[in-house]
Amino acid sequence: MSQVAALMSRVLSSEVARRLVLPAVCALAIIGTLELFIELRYQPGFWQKSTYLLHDAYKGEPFDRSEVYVRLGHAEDADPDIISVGDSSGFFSLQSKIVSRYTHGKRFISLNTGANHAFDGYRAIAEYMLRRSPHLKHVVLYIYPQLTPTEAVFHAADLGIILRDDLVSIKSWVTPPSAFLSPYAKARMLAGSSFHFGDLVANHLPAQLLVATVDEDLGWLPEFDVRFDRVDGRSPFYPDGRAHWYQNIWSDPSTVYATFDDFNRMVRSYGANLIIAFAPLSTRITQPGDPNLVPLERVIERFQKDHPEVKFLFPFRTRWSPEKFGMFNHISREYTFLSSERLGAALGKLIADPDAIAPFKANLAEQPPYPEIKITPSGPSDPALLESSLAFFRYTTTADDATGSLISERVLDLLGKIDSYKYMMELTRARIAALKRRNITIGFDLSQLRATPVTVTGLSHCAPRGDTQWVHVEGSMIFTYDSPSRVMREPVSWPAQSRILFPTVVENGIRKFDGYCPESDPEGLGAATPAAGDLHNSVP
Amino acid sequence: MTFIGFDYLFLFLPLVVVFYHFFRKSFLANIGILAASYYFYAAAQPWYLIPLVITSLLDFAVGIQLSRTENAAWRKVLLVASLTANLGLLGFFKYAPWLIESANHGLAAAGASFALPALSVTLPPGISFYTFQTMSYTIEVYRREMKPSWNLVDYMAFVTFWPHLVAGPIMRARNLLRQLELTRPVITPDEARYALTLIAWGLFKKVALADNFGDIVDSIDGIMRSGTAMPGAGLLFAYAFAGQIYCDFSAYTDIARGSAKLIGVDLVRNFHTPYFSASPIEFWRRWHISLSTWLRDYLYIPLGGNRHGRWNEYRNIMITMTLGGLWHGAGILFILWGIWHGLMLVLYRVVRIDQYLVGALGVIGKWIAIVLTFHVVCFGWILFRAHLDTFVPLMASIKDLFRGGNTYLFFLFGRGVLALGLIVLITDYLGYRKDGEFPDLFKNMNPYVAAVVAAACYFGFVILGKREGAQFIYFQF
Repeated sequence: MSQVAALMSRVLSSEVARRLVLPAVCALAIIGTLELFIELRYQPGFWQKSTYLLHDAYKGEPFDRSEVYVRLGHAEDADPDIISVGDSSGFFSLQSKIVSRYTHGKRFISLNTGANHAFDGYRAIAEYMLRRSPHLKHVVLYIYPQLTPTEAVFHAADLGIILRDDLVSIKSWVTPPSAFLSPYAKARMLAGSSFHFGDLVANHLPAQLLVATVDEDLGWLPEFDVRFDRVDGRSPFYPDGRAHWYQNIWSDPSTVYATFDDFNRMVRSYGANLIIAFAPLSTRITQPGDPNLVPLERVIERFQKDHPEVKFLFPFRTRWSPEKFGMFNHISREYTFLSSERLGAALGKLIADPDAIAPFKANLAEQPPYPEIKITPSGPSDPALLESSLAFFRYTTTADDATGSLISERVLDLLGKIDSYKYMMELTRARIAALKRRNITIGFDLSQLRATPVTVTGLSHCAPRGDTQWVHVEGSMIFTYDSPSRVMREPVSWPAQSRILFPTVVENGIRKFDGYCPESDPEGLGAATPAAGDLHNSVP
Repeated sequence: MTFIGFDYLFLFLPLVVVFYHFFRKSFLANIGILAASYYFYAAAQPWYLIPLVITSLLDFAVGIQLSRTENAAWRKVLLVASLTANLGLLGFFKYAPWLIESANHGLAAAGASFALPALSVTLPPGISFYTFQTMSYTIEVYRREMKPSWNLVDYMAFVTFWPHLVAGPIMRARNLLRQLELTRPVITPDEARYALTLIAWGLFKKVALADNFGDIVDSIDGIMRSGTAMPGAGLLFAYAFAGQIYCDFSAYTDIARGSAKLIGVDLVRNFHTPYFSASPIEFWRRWHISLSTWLRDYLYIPLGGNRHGRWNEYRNIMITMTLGGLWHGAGILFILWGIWHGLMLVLYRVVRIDQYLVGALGVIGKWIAIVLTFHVVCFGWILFRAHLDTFVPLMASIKDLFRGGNTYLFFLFGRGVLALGLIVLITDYLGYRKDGEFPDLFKNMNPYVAAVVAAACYFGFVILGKREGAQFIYFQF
């Protein structure tokens, strides 16, 4: 014993110990003590201390980060049976509770994020959840067809690798408790704004709404933006090639194939199944003669042949009429019952009988040119037109009966027959009630919007009447959020170029919204091009 | 791989240090350094090795040939061949795309119906540094200031030595190559502690200071590009970029020096509290020292230096600084940045303003000279970082600050510039007082006080650190 003590004494008094090791131990002790203090004092959760969320004091807490923080923080211990990951087409378009109504008791949670997380981020979220959720057996990769994993999509994804580091890499295990203080310290020091410890360091309305409704909506948020030509916008498919020859040596030359393959192997390594679901496209979004479209269809078909275990729920292109979209790839809030039902019903079919899902088949039809659309003002702007045009949009958010009375009988009759719509309105009412209990009110301020009567050629309506009046809405939609601690007004530009159009009719002397038309082929299982005249706002 | 990555700090560096100390006395030491350097440099893009290996082998062969011949004409041919190849490589990757694009703009403006085919190449990181380094080797052998290396591994380890490969300091062969050729003693505990504190301080400067300064610079740049009015934007842009580039580049040097020191190699100092310079000439003695001495020894002095009269001296300064500007990047604003510094150096030779101020006002005069020099440098930073379409709005915004207007953004960003700037100012001043840099204070510091400083660096790193860890600025050069 005394020899050990003597040895220890000799080691500790050595030059190396005195001048290097002991000071290093001292530094580690200081760090450890303070970290322990912060851990005990604030008890930050994984998400709160995740360095992924280190705050950029000038850009604010970007929404792309907040959504992951709030939603994954909420879902991580929920042990769902099915999750979806992917781009924002799923984030805004899938109401998890509606999807779950169709999945035979299996619990579904949408964890779709933004496309700037891309496939590194989607994969990280899926893997994070697979590690924590013993019942999770189905991972749905829900993606917008024009955001399939091509190099262009990866290139734009600045958050993907960061998210992967924070969720599933070694770095995720070494995030210290003090990182929790970072956003608050930086906001205070660099921008002079203070937040309570534990609060989301964000001042914008969608982030606050997300936090306020996450218990009820499991992280779904309605779309706010209409920043895209709604009736006649175009966006491209990206080429599926590799910029560097040496990247093809070890994997398939198709980035789409290699990414799906990698995703599939990861999901299967946890004993789960990969399901791929393509979100609907607007009818006029595909560019005529797009050279990248058919190759993408072909490579997905090749992947399906090599991987029959992966289920593709829908064709690559499912076309829905343009009024159902907010941004080009986001289903507008009032139509999310349709997109949620579409996924839920297909998942239900798969769960009941996996063989009922047919293998993916490429649709090699190219997009022919579109007929021209013309919109001409036919009168001055009119506030009464505004109220009726936006009635359906607002009613599905507020469940306010006065607003609902501005929806036409035809539309109400159609909606009354749709179960998913009824579920959506149940959820809306539950959300409003839950917010009310916390003294939070959400709504709209239409004062910065204008509604102008227009004549339209090149678009049709599923139920035209002699008195059908098209209305063009533009300006700034102001979303409101009032709580005891915050009164927020979030103006969102709804520019004239977005060509936001609503058909209205007069019933009992009152002008009403008449814009809802059912899709002829909601799951996209039939023809790629909708039949003429079937769809409101579609090609006549 | 980058210095601020976990893989570098917790895997690469410890492994290399342990390997080196195991095989310190064997031929494997430099083989290990060479392999590690290649991995560090080209793990993400293996083709980066192609120009690096070409330039290394060429100058190795030229060095040997130079030592084998006494024929002056043949020696000159060899030297010219080496310089042409190195500068040609640099020109191809760095300047050819820009020159072709500029020529096409000119052709279009002149109404020409044809254009030169565009050249799209990725610039291999650090090519400006390693080509200058291998050129200095050839020049020194040519001048018979050193004997060439006959050991290919030692020579390649010198060229590719990972701590300084991508962003310097630009080491002379007679210094670094000689160190690598020798079996170096094991570093002392004090040296190890100093090396580790250099790395810790470098990490703090990069992640907590440079990247946050960078956010301000990027935000103001975005505001200018969007056409939004922001009185005083140019001033904050200049201050913030002065902070960013200094903290970023000196952080790289600190981590490089600390990493090299762990295997017993001393890299030269590259910065010496440059913003406390009282004149342009002093600034260049304190800023990017390894480049300014390289330009002095291999360009300014061969051009004639100050030997042939005042006007030739001024001409030589202007040529040297203009080419120095061009070295930093292919773009008209980089050239203007070089010309600006050249003009200031010439002007200083005419009017020794710091001496005048010190003579008239004593210490206060010196501080006035320091503030003046800092602002001269800051104007240069606007040229360095701005774009052709934002330079004029940035300058105009400074004037607007004194005309009133909405100053919300000025005070918002000003708060950040002040908070970060104070940290730089105070720590640099502590170093400046001792005629060194802040990390030099660690050398003689009580080990336990150093431990507290290291712990403070850690918390600064975690709490103020910018998550994404932007790439080091000088990588692009």
